[in-house]
Amino acid sequence: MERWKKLLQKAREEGAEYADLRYIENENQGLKCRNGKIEELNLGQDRGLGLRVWVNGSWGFASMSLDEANLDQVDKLAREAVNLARAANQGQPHRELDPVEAAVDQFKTEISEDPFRVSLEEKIDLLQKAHEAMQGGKIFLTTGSMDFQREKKLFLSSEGSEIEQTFYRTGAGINAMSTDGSDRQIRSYPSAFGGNYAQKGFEFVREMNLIGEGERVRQEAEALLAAEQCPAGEMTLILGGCQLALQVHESCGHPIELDRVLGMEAALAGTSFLNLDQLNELSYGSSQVNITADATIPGALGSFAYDDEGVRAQRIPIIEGGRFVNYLTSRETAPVLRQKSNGTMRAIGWSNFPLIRMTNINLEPGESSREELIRGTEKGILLDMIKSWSIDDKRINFQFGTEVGWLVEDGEIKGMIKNPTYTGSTLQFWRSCDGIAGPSEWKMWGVPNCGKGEPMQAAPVGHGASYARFRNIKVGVSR
Amino acid sequence: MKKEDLKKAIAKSPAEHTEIFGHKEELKLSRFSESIIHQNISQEKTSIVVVVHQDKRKGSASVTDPSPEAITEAIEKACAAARFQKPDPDFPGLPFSEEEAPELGAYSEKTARCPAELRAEGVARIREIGNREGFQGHGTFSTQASKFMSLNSSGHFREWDTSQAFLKVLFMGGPGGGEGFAQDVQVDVDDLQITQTAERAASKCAATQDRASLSPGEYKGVLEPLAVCELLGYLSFIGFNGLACNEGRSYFSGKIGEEVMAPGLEIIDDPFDNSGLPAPYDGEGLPKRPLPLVENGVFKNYVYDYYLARKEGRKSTGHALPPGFRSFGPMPMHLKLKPGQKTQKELIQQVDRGVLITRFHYVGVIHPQKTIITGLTRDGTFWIENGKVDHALKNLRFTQSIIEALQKTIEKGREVGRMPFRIGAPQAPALLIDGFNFTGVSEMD
Repeated sequence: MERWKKLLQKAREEGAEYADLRYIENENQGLKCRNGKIEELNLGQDRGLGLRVWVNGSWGFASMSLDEANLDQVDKLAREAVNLARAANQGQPHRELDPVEAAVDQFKTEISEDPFRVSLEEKIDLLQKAHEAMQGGKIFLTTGSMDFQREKKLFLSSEGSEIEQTFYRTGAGINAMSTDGSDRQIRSYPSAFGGNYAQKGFEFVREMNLIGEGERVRQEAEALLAAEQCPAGEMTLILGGCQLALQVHESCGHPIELDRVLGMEAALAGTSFLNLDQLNELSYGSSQVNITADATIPGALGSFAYDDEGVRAQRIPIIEGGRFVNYLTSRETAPVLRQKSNGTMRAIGWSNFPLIRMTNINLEPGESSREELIRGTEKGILLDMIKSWSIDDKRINFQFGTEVGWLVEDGEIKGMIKNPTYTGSTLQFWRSCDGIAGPSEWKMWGVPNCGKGEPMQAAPVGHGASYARFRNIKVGVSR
Repeated sequence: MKKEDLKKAIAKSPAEHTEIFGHKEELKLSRFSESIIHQNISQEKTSIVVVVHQDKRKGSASVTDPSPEAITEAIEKACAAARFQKPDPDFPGLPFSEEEAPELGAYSEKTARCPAELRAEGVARIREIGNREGFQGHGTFSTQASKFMSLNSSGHFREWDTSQAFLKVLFMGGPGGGEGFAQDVQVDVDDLQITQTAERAASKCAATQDRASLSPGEYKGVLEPLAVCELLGYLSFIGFNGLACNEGRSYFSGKIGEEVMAPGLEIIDDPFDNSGLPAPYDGEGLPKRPLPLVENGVFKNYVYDYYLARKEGRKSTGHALPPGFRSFGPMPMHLKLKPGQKTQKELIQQVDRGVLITRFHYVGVIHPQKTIITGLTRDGTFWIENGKVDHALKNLRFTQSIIEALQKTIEKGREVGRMPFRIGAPQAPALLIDGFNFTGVSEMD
């Protein structure tokens, strides 16, 4: 601790008006099983430090991985970061950061079963048994994976904050690919692309019941081969929570990042259709749509106690009764709105500069249910589980594909459909929402790889969702 | 990261077979927005990955600490992990090759030592051009230097260095809200064409004021080099990928010798081309070499790493990814689509009604085997009428099979562009495609 405090002091001596640092020790374990064979079994460790300084309205940031041999070189980061900040300043006016009260605190993810104390043998056995449950018939490829991370982060600032946070992140999932010689289909559980993730221990994996679900995954992957193609046209669309998580992520979570709105991500991921004057004015969705950004949910992947500027985690409304009421902000950007930071700045690991990131962006539960949404649908489709996704650089036009769907006719589920896709425009889509299922069907989904920034940072974020229904949506656009 | 330390760690390893891959990277990056640098970054990272095999059981571990003690500890962890594995009957041992790659211009000391002031001067030039036109500049100016070491207990050792200087410029603004993009990437930062790149972006921004809407449908398309490079990048991942081909998941599975694209299209994986961020060795330290993949529209070769090659009784083609990424399968990272003779203006002159595309955005794969992808155009989309660019268009969504687009290619441009990835950069000319499928338009209802 004293070494790092001296580094902050050194940065101040070099000319920094403000400085903060993150010292991080990270341990991870990753297993990938392919057709019953453990193809990747990796145990990783890394340790490093990132120093950020503010000089006359500009940021400089320098980071390095640490080992016993280079610990005495960390002082160079102070001069480097200050030089970078000075080089960045090309006459821009002086600005003040949003003031934050210094915090001295500790946080640790609450877990029941430390995933690093569960033997590799048990984890491998679980993945191989899940493979056995999925194999056979028309299945030609099964995969399963588990990922565990323990991140110990120390945040110090020149304003006196000393915050230690330890995060446990756990994820797992399985999938089966089927073929009849010409067609190929996939089913995943509990979510696609690595499964579901949470800030929990190994109990999260046990609760998934990967072995027990294997047989259903196999059956659905095979059934998809014989399923009808997704119909094309405009119709009612019901989305399951897993798919809604992605829908919220792409068409609500990213557009509300204030750094995007201000153009800071323009050349890579793009900007946002939202303008500053739309705050508290824009009708984003129907009156049923309520979205919150909640970094305080225990166990959710996007939760924390403090962000990477030392701002306390918060729960804030984003869309209230359909009206847009808040952006995600930081100490640098909140003053643009004459607001306080709502604490969403996070960096991935020690090597990266913090950015405004989604926390847990949730579609709050409504009063309906899956069954009621189906009963109220004369002609439509129910889709779930992400397969492909794309959205434009203003977050207006999106097109998503899902693994599976079902026809809904006259208030009942009919046959399974394959290769479903749907497309639309963000505001039109959310304004067409006429029903959301209630709390009993509401669940948190963890997305471990939300990409943003240069160099690219893959952030862990969360989304809570149940089922929701949307009217007059264009479906079946892929050929 | 010292090679003596890595070699000592291999020598002390208790495992039957041990492989180490070391990577040290120094990245300096200036991101600018509204023509002002808003993030100025320096990163120095070391990563060591060890892979051990004992009785054909594999385990791996990674550390950021390159000291002999830390690497030895990582090897011990990897050995402990391997004990829980089932044996892999296909494990072929670790590769050894005396073949050395030729000297390539893959590294520039000037790039590695580029100071922050030089990047700031570059951004200042971009700002001047933007101010002249009334546009705001957004983008990135980065320099990156990497050292790689690959060694194993078969006695194989290779080390190599690479560098890249990368400039992206997006101008936004003007009375009609234009957007124009251009980029350049070079091994040597002195070769970056800062002014020319910014002028290209400014010219596009000026031309994209007041964009019109276009009804979805199939139109002739002139895809500029960056858009074609994006298609090539996806084709590498879902099509030319050696594992996908082997498992029957690729369009190219079982199609060697078959016509898969328009006659006249040639695609080579050329890691030695200095324009394409060359690399002498692959992720197993085996020498890379040029490999033709498509000749005159006919699919010619699969790519292999050592494991897959030995499984099929062949030789590695030098396409292994580093350990930790190999489950994706061996992939060609230096694809080059051979250019034609015509200028882009001449391609446009051949179009009666069609769309000119600068680049794509947020591409997603819908059907890997059919190579169907979806995404959007951005930063310069134009309507062509009677052989001339007529007016700017709002961004369009496309849903299109890459293979079908390449089958419908009727002309190639002569100027080549490139798009850097973490390793290598696909290179391609503009293409004239007789039918590109647009399925939506980006606009508020």
